[in-house]
Amino acid sequence: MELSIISEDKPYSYVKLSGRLDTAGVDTVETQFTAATLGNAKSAVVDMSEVDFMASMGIRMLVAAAKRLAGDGDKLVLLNPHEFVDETMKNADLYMLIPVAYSEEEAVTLLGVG
Amino acid sequence: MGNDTTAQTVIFTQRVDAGGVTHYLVVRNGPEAGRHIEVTTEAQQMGRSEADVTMADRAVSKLHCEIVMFGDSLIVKDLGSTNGTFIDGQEVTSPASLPVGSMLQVGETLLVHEVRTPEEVAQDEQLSEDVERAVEYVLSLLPEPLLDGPVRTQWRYIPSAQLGGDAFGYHKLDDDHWVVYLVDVCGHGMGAALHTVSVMNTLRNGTLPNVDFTVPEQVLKALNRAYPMENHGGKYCTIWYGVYELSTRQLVFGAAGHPPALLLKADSESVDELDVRGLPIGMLEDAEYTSNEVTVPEDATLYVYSDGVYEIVTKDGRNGTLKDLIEIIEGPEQPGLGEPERIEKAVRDQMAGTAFDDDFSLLVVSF
Repeated sequence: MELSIISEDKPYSYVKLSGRLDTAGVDTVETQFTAATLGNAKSAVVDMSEVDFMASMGIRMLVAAAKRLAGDGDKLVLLNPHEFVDETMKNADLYMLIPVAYSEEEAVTLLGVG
Repeated sequence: MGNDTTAQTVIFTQRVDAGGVTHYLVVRNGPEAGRHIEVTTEAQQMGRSEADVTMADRAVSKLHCEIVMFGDSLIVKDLGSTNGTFIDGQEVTSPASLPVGSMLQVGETLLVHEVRTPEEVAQDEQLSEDVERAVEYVLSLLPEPLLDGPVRTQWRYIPSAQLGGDAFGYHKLDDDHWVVYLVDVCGHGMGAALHTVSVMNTLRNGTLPNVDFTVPEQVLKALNRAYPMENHGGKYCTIWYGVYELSTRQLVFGAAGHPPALLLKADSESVDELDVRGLPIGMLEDAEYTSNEVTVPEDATLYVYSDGVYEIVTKDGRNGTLKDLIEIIEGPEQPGLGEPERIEKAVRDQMAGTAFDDDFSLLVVSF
């Protein structure tokens, strides 16, 4: 599991996760993820295109960040989730907490920062 | 899984003790969970018998694999064991590295290569004993199969090496209603198990105030208010909850973040997905839940399960999906095997390795 910071120059945090977001994956990236999404006092876009599996602890990590951001009036948007992750999100009705976008432009619109 | 005693696996290890730490192979599942096998400077053989390190696992050959310390890695070589040797789910077909943190599978036994101090080992062994006790307690909460009557049940529960957060139940609410539910708490280990036990006892004892337990959305909404993740160590759970009315054969059901139960009718070759969307329990204080209902014809079968039943890594390296499970359920019965055992066998046939990463919980209800 890897986390990359795509850009630090935008009006939102922009990070990318890669690999399996299972318990071990969350253990690997959670501290970095929390710092990258919550440490900038702005909304966040999380590119999920290279996450091919997400287990319950991965959901917990994303939801915890989304709720913390929402508490400050900010948002977290998932970008381009893999088909498997998309199914997991839909099954758990999670898109009502974490919206999804299929392009950065759409993500910016959802965040309302464009 | 065969039990051939002729194939051999030999394990060679070497003790590495630098800075007060020692390399260990730590058993993660089965009756020997928590056992620490110290890696020594002397080569060791691992197998079911006739080995330096013997394993209480029928799927392990008499002599099973060979490991040699090389730098900081153990090198593993399978010598043609019956059931193979795996590193992180990949079969060892030629000598391969087992880095610190990687999982070695010998037969059905999982072992992790760890570097620990003796004090940490003692602490881990105590924790493993506690997890074993937790498994026993969760098992004690699961109801006996119902072999006769208007509602019959069979089930299969296989806790993962680290113990996930699954549990399920069914009982009569009154003379005309039966309830069936399956709970899956996020994460693994004692924290997940404790949360599961708490939710299970709430459902078993009906301790949600002012709730009609024949109405799924009332139950889910009350559970959601009772178990906010912020007040429960960041834990949330998913649940499928159904109530069957004997007199009308109506099944009313709700779900909170849980995959759909599946209903297979006697005259049909394809299942109906009993799907209702709702957020997992504990995620959002004001979450609303709904229910749906279906008429259950005679001789229909209901399958309620956790995602651990299908979220496996398959032999061809892809992630298993719900569609895979549906295809298995829609497949032919297998003489001599109960329905949960048939499905478990089919899932195992698709799975890389032999150990489940998550709890395998499958409840089969016949009407």
